[in-house]
Amino acid sequence: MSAIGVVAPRGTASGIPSGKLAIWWFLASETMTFGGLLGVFVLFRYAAGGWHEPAAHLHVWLAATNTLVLLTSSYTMVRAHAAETAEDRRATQRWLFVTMGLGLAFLAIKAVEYASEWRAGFTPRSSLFWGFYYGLTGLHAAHVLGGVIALVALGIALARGRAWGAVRQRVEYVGLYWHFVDIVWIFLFPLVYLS
Amino acid sequence: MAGPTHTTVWYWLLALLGAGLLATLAPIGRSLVIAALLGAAVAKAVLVARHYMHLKHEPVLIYAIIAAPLLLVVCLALALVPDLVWRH
Repeated sequence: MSAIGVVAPRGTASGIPSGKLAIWWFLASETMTFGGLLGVFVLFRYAAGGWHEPAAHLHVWLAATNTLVLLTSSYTMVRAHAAETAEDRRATQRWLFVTMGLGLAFLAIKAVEYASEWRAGFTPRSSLFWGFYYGLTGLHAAHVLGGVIALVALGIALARGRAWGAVRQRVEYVGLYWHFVDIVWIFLFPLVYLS
Repeated sequence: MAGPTHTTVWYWLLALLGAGLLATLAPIGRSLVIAALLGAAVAKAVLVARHYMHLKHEPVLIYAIIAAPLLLVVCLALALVPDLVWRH
């Protein structure tokens, strides 16, 4: 089996490829970041009696649409991984492109939401709730943007005919990151918008 | 083989999203709504982790890597609860 250009192709002592181990370690550190922020947000919200008044100004249906977009992007990402496993280069490229499009759609909807709230006078300095809102959703959006950039890089590598072995493991690793970002939103949406 | 399974999981994810949104419109108490929302969120996260991140095929070491920070987050949040109870 050729391993030219593959990121950390050989397993570690654990039998897990070191690239995969690295991405899981990274996701563990991200779990601490988002978990800590969400935990503090929930406690502050509880202590403040629920923050129902400011939360009523949020665009729940835009956020629900974004949830649909991200859940679907996880589906298209796993289809890209399945195509990669089946060694179907064209299908991998196609599913990665769709995932990238959905990521951009998420960011566009988020931008519309931010613009509307900003125009209504709700800025990060308006209150603690709005500070948390912009902080949590902004950090998440930055992670979506990071995922889109990784998808673009993968797409370019595939389009340039880069060696399949050099790219295919990265599809799995970018996929793991993308699904993690989806899971973060799965918790952000009900905790920030619906609770 | 994998395609239909992934598609089925996606249908489940959409159904859980719909259920969560419907719960907010239902004439039930706020605590029940929040419990339903968090239940749906946990179910969605488990579906994505197990089927899309393929956790069900991963060795126990991967579970340990991800469980450690989760446990720490829960401990840190619980450590703040006495302060909240004291103040309110």
